[in-house]
Amino acid sequence: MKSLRHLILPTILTGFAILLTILLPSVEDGVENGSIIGLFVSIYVLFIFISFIFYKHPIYKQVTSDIISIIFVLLILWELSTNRFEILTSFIYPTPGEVMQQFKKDAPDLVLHLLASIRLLASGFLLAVCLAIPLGIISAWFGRLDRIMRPIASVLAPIPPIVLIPYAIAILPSFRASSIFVIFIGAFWPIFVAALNGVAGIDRRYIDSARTLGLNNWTLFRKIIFPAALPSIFTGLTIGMILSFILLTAAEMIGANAGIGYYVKLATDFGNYTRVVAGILFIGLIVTIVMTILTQLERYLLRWRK
Amino acid sequence: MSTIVYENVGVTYESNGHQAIKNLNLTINSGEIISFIGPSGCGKSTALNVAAGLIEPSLGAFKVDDEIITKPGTDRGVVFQNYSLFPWMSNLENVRFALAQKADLPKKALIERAKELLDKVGIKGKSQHVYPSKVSGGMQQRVAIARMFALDSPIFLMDEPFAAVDEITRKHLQQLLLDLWEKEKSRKTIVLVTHNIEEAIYLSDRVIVLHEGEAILAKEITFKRPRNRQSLEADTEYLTIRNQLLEAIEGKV
Repeated sequence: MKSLRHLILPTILTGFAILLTILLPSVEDGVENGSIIGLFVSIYVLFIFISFIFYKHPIYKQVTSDIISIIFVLLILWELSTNRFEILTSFIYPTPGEVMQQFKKDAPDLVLHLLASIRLLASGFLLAVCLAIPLGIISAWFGRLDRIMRPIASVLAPIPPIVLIPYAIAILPSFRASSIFVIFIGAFWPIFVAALNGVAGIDRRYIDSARTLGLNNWTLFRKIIFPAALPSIFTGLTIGMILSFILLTAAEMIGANAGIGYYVKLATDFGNYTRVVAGILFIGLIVTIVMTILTQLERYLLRWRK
Repeated sequence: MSTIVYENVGVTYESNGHQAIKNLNLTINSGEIISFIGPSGCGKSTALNVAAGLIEPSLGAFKVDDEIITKPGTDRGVVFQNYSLFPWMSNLENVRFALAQKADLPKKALIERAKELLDKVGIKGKSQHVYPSKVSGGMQQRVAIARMFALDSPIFLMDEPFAAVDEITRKHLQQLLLDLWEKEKSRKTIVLVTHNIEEAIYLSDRVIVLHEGEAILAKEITFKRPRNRQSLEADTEYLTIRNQLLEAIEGKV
């Protein structure tokens, strides 16, 4: 029974939420209680599923339970303040049920927008990864280059790449090229600096040890320098990825005709706030998924750490 | 043949101007085991790093078989004080990687050979396949020794190789080193850095006491090999040598 204790609070909250939905009269006529109950139930099922993954780690189980409970409390407050008591104006504050319905209706569209966004994001981000890691490692390896690149990086890196977007759109032939360029710039510097620091910070012992094994330069780079710098490189990748998302959506809101940022912008222009909220939540979900994949990749590749 | 010569070697660290070694003159014959001994900061690790080719002497020259050495090479296998295994490779992979640098063998044969070497130092079964961070410091040091054996260099350079391991393991590893050394027809030249007097006497043909970067005493150890720990410790000559070294280390010469 002790192993099921973490289920108690979320279960009570789910039951409470469903009960409220059924018992309290709703303000909006158009929205069925079914979709909001469906939302509660699917979050609850998701929670059971996640806590099953963490069945061996009592702390993670507890954390998931706590977070899910907070989500439920927020959802209940949201539902009560909009759909049940109308404390918040229905025009700019959509109800959870409306947002859910909008999601369902727009799902095929959202997938298309997502694909357009991912293409831009992947192109810009991967280009940055492919250039920043080797350049960072090479710069760190040659003392002279290191001393040149550090001041250059410290001047250029802090320029918020968002200010480049309008100009990039003006000078580059297509929106696609300009947004890839801006994402590339945004992701490049954190990854470059991380690779530079990663190599500069390699424990002298590993280099000495490698030198006594008589490695050639290529093996030294591939088997020693790169893996030794990888923990630092991953912190750069994480920052680069977050910046890429910010720049992607910003660029899409300024000049795109597709993409998740464009979806939110268009809905805002038309005053469709249900769609705006659905879009924001959708972007949040996508960012979470992408960052989780990155973290899992990091955990796998750096499994040798203590 | 691997005769090592320190010829008026002096090392001054550029960063702080500290003179780690002053005018070291020493010839180590091929097949000889010598120990550098002394308190911390006496320059014994620096002397070994010069031999490894990791530090270039600021004065004089370091030679192996009349050739001046300024770079590391696979003719000298090194065990560092702090193991220095590559943490992103499993224990087995660390040894296999070293083997692969020296021997042009198919991967399977390399793995077999690496396993044998690890078995020899007492790293068996599952511990071969885990990452160094998952085993104790003593076990990591054994893997580092197996890695040095893998290079099969004519010269072994060992910086406090047994300092981090427990008494029983230390004796086992010392024996393993001596067995390997005694069995080979072309004996390896071994340079050892230690702060353990008993270890130095038991293993070495000569013990060099360093004090503030200078060799203040070079003591021949002439006990017959194979040596026996118990009878050695009961020997009056052993006690005389031990006290002499101890006095030298404490600077009473």
